[in-house]
Amino acid sequence: MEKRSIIELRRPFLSGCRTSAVLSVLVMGAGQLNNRQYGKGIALMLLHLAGLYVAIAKLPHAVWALVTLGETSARLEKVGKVYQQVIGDHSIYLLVEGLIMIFLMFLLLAVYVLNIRDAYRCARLREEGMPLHTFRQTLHFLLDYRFPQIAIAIPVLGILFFTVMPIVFMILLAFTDFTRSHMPPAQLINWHGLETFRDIFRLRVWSETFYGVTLWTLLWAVASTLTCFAAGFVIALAVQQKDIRFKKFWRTIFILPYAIPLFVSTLILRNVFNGQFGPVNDYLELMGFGRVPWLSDPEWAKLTLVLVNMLLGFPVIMLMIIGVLSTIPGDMYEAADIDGADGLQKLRLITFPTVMYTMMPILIMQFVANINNFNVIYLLTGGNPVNGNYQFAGHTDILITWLYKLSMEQGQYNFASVIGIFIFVLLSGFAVWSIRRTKSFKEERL
Amino acid sequence: MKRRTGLISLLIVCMLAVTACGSASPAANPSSAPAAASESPLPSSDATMDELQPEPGAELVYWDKKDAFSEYAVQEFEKKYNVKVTLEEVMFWETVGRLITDGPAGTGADVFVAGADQLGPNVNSGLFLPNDYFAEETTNISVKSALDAVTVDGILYGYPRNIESFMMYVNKDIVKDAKLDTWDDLKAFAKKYNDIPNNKYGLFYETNNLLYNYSFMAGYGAYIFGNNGTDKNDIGLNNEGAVKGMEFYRSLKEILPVASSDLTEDVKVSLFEQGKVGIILDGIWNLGRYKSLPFEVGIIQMPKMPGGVDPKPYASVPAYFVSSYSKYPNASKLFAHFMTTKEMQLKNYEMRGVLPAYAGIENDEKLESDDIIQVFAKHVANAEMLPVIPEVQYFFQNITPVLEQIWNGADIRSTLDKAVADMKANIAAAQ
Repeated sequence: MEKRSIIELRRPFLSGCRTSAVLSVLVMGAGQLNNRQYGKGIALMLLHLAGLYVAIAKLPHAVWALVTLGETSARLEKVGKVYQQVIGDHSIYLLVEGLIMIFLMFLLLAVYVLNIRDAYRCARLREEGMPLHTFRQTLHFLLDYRFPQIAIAIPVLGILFFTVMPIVFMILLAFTDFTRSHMPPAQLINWHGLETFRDIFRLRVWSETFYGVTLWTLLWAVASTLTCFAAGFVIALAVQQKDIRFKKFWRTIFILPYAIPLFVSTLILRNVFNGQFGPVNDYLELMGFGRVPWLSDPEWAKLTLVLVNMLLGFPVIMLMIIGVLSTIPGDMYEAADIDGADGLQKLRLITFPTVMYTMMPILIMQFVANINNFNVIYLLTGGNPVNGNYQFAGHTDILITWLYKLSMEQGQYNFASVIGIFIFVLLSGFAVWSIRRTKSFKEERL
Repeated sequence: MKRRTGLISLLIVCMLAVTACGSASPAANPSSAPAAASESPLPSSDATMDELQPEPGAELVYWDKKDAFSEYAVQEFEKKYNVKVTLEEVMFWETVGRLITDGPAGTGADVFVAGADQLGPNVNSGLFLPNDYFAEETTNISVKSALDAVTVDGILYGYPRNIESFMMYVNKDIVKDAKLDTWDDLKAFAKKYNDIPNNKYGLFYETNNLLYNYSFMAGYGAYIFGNNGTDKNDIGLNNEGAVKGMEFYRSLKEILPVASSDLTEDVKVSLFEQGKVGIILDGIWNLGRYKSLPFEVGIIQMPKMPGGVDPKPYASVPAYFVSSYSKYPNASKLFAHFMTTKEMQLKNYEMRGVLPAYAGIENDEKLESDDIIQVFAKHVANAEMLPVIPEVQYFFQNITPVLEQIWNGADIRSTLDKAVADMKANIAAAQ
């Protein structure tokens, strides 16, 4: 009798796990209350009320803001002798505000869905006769067993609001007419759909620049990655040769370029390669060669960039490869020697595959990073020499420097964000596709 | 199940955290700002009829170069009006760019210095409060061209501070008493002095910079926009004068036979400071730097071009502006005005050596004894101000590349035609 009454007490007022779920669909936390989990139920109900308040009070404004991007613009009004600024809607802020609201609503929606699932599952557990946690137990459980999730939720939220949201914001800008000649607060920004995308591909000035710059970006990424790798590899092999003396000294010498900040060395190299006044050409002339237009001729400028990038980039690769080389067991070479292999065969069949196994993902990361290698290009040539056929770009501009010029110098924010989307697609595509293809990603052994 | 409960409570925690952040975000500002802005000035507008009074409790943020003059001026103003002013170092070429983002966030300056050429492209976006209360006084004291440079569509925005342009600096040890009345004289001098293997040049400057080279086109009659720089449909950058100016420009290659991307500012300054260059073109703002060199540096006017024509440089006017986001517009206007009174402009000249923007400087006794200022004033008398319409940005974008192409031997007429066509296309696209 007594036992029965306890079971009676444990049973929900309305039996059946479906009922609890349905109650939770109606009001968050109602299902939990029905399951007699009062603390959790009340907390969820409060959240429901808060969410309801936000949805009624703020959501319409956010939707309005996102749809219209503001309706009244700021203007000056003359009062007596003095002008006054009557502040209107600031499209950019409305856009950000609206996005934050939408993101919050999605979070709330996620809680809502989880709340239904929780009500359903708890009810089913009860039916099976399992005791449910009290509120205090839940809290203890959270702190004891779910601490990692709580800890990680903070950076996740950070990423959501400081990384994902700005990216969404940037993507949305591509569909507006936000340019320097069209800027808040005095002017409202409007949605204009795919017009910017269409312009980039259809207008000759834009598409020519776009294709030209993209092609050079890819060429640049391939060339700069390969040259850095080749130089690093060759020098690592040379330094690691058995007969080489003062190994430490050579390594130190070669790492020096890496020790100087890239920013400084690039700016110095810019003067070193000056066609008229740079020491490089002075030496060339002394040796009887002509002067080379390092930075003033488009093709030479591109070559100079690859060269300089190699100078600045090979030490890291060299260090990495030295590390990899030291992991190759010496007896493999001894066995090869006994089999009568020559140096080239050992290089081709032992050293190279081992190095590539470790280096491939790094190379791909380097390739991806080189697509976005802003520093070297911007500091060394600044995208010059000029190209009369390009729209706001020079011969050596890559996508990211073009984007910089478009947004920071020209104020063509919508075009810049189209380029930004394109870079994003390009990079993520390359990164995912190629890393998945490498052996070390598949965790295969050699 | 437990995991779910955990996640839910977790999300509750997060939600609270996020909503707390959300309400404090700057997004809340625009809604609260208008109320403050539209209500507070209204009652005071009666008072402004008589005399502009700073708002009670006003505190100003002021962006300018942090040097002796700006600190002195801030002190004087604080003494006179009892309004606290915080000076933050933001150089005049970056003030507008920062105000675009800082203004709406409420952290921008109330008063700032900007080149007048920044006004045109940005006045559309409503960053600047017009110079209304002191309009008459500013108009009365300023040089006409400086006023034009800070007026858009008939509304005066700025408080002109001084006039800037570039100058022809000469190394007197090298130039001595060589005749430099015309560019032919200058070329003759340069040919005699040039020693290219040793990097010695008679004349050296950046040939891919419009600042210097537009002078030649404009001298022969090219213009950026017609109708005093107000008609965006009338571009005069490929007319006969422009072609003639560019022909003259390219003729300078005989005394400066270097690829134009190698003619950088770094090289120019270092060669000049080493005493290897006779004449350079550089901004008046670098005067202080060159005065302290071990040899005597003089300043001359730009010589006449073939046909007895003076080059026509453009000049710019750094001016004070009041931000439209300012919470204390009255105090800000008072400050901007205070900074541009004749006394303060003279003080600015004394402490920084710049050319004031008020009218009648030629006769000012303090300036009369200053040879450099006298030469510079004549140089500026030939100058024209950059147009203030927003489309002036396309002038720089589209014509700058032309210089390098022409220097490298491109056909002048067709290069200019193409650049102007692009410029028109850009203007049309921006509509």
